[in-house]
Amino acid sequence: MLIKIVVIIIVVLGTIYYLDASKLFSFDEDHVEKRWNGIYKFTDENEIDLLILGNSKTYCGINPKTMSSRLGLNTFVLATPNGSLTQCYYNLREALTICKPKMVAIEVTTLNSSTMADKEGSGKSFLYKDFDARRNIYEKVITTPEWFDIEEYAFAWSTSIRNHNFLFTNTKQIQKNKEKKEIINNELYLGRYVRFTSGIEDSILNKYKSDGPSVNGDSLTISDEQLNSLQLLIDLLEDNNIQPVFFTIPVYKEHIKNYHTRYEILLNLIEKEYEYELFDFQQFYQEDLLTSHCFENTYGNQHMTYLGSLIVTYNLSDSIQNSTQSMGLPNRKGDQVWHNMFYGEESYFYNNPMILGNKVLFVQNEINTENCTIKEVGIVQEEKVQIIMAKIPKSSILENEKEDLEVQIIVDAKLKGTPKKIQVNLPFNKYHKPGEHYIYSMPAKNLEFIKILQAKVVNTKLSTPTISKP
Amino acid sequence: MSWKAEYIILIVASTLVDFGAGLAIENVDSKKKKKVWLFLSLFVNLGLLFTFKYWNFFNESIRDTLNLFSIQFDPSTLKLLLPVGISFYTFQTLSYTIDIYYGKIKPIKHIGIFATYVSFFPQLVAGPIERAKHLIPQFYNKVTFEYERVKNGLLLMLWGFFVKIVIADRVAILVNTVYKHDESYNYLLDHTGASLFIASFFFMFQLYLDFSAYSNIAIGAARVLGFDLQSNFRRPYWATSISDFWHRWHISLSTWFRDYVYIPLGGNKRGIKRHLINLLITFLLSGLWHGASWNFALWGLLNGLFLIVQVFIDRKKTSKKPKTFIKRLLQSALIMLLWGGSLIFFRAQTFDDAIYVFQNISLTGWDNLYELGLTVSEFKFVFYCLVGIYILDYIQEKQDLYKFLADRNIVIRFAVYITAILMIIYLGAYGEDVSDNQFLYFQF
Repeated sequence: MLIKIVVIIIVVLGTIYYLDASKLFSFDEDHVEKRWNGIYKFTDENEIDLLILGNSKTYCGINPKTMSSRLGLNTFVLATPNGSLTQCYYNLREALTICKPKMVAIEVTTLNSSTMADKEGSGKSFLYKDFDARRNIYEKVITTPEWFDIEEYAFAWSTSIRNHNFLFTNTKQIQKNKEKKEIINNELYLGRYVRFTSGIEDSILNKYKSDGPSVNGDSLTISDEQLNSLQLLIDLLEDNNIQPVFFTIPVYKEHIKNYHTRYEILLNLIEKEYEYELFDFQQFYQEDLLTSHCFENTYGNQHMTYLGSLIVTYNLSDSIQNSTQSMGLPNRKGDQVWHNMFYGEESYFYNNPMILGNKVLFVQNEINTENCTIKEVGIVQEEKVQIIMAKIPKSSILENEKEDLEVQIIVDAKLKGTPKKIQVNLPFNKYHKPGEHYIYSMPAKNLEFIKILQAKVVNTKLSTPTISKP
Repeated sequence: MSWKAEYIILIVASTLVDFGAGLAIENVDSKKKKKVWLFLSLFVNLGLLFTFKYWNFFNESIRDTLNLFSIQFDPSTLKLLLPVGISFYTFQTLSYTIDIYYGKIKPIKHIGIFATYVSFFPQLVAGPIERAKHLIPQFYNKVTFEYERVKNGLLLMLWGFFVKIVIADRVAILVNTVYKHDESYNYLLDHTGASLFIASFFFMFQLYLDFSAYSNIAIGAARVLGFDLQSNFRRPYWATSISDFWHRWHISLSTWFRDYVYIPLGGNKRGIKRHLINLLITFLLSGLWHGASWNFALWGLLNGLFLIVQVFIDRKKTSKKPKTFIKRLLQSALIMLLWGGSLIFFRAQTFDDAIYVFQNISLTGWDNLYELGLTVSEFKFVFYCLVGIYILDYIQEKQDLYKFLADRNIVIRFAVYITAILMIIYLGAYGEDVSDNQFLYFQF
């Protein structure tokens, strides 16, 4: 009888394994799967330097390409939707089997009152997807009892069992999976997932006015499970000689009240108890930059928009660079592998020299104006648009005047193929903050520069060409 | 039906009282004293049942009645959970003391065995309600591994899981969609005509498949352990009459009511009037056993009335014609029509809901058949499964299908087993998007 039962079990498990491996019951590859596929592309020769852990606020709020271009690092965002610190800890365990970053930055919204047992609905679905996308069998075995109840084990380990209802409810997906061919994807995926491009609208702003903030910092607590996971995570990092830093992705200023209570808790926990730095961009909110355009148009769980993420990414980059904890971080800007990986990628030319090529359509260096030298003026081809960009060394202008200035250039150009002499005024770009320059830029279309005839920096408030050198 | 750790006290109390009462009834001499011990057992068991199951219903009914006469009565309501299995194990222990009182069995002296009889896990939660005479002697038998027995038990469990997970739980999706009535909204009122018909028709099968599946799993599990439980269903939808139906449906409960209510009341031995009254009382109590609501009482009474009608038909019937297939089919259809109709009271959440269904049910308006919670393919699959089960039941009437399968060669048998397991896994209604699929009889 035992042999017969074993035969039946083997045939049944074999069928399940076959169906799982064939991916007939899988959804299309989503950002969770892409993230894990992305991290598995890093090798010992090309290590991740800065690993960022968090939840959806993190992958919407941190731009790893911008951060990499700014700091000369390999940055990867390993964040999962609805992720908690417990999830971060187990994901980090697997990540450390792939790479050994010098620094791990942890977004502290993950330190909250939730527990793994609380997860349900979409939160549970994303947990399954996160688990699915991981590859290390040993780590998955270790993770299973921590993430799932016993009746969920089969769902966690088998996509075909979890999604078996596709047979009735989503036969199109099965058909699609049947016809799908293996696609080798060489895209550089660093864990970024852009979801929001437009900011808060008047209806939500009015709701803040009428109903008040949707979150009360007084009521934000941290569960014992998360505290325990924090301890485990810090122990793991210390054992691996990896530097932890902690940071907060902000929400709109009207979105939360009494944040100082939450800040006190985090401060006591992270800076006083564990003696690590906390970069809290909510407590030290930049009102002039973090306007309503920077946040998702929702009264509920709020994420950052693309513009907002640039501000936070540069702020975090600055914080890390100025921190004593950045000692072990390399600068790979001179490294050919790094160059090949990031050249022409998002934010690259804001943070690195423009060199004429397929991505840089025009560049002219060291242009002397009446008052200062413009480091570079160029046209960069981005995905859908061209950007005319000028870089002025920070040392050339006063910090408090930068936003009032414009770079005015007169060029011989071709507009839609027709030669013309045109004047272009480039306003200050408040979103990109490379280390040594201020960026003045504007988008353009169908414009071809031939030669810059004249350039000057004007103060729009004074209406006179003026630059005061400090 | 819920569970709280402290509710273990209830089953322990029931066990101790009936164990003691059984011994006392045997040991005391006078009939009067025996009766005292019997009443103690009845009082404790029915008291527990009344407190946990009927207290609020009883008070609310008195309140509503008094309100009709403009008398204000505001009874206290108990916020108690209905303890898991209480309706089943109280009946099981009651039958033990009653049987001892009537001298049908001798009390046992081993409390461990008696406790095992009361709390025997395969059938604790939802039956079959066992009799001491049948189950207790089995606890004294030495159980050894018997391949055939274990295999049969496992097969019965496999069939139970298949019926429950693949068919009954998917049928439930449609039924629950139509009959849904929660605190915020009564979804039932959005449905009329054929939607109500198909939901009621499906519920008739859901109840049968769900409960018979549970019974098969319980009987199969017990068989694997070496114990034989009495069967609970015998293809009820192929019954030839209402009385035949009750010999095939929830047999352990029907026979319990027959032996401990109907016959003690006099059965059919005290004239026709008393016979009919006895039937009505038995079925009213049977209805109330299922749940503390007037809907269940009405459901019971309705089935009592069906039997009364049959009593009159049987009195006039003179000849017994041979049963042709067409005749069986027509009888089956009539049984299902009457039984399915009565089940509207069983399934509807309130009396008003049941009346709404009766007023609006029809065979018109089939347009939204596929908007009742099941996709087109799911609906077709479920429908074919129900037809399949109905046909299999008919074949089973003529031939033992387990034996038929056992006689096939190993390749065919293994193909059947593996297909059944894979069908449970891949065609079962379970997972994230399927809510609440516990067994229906767990709520009683």
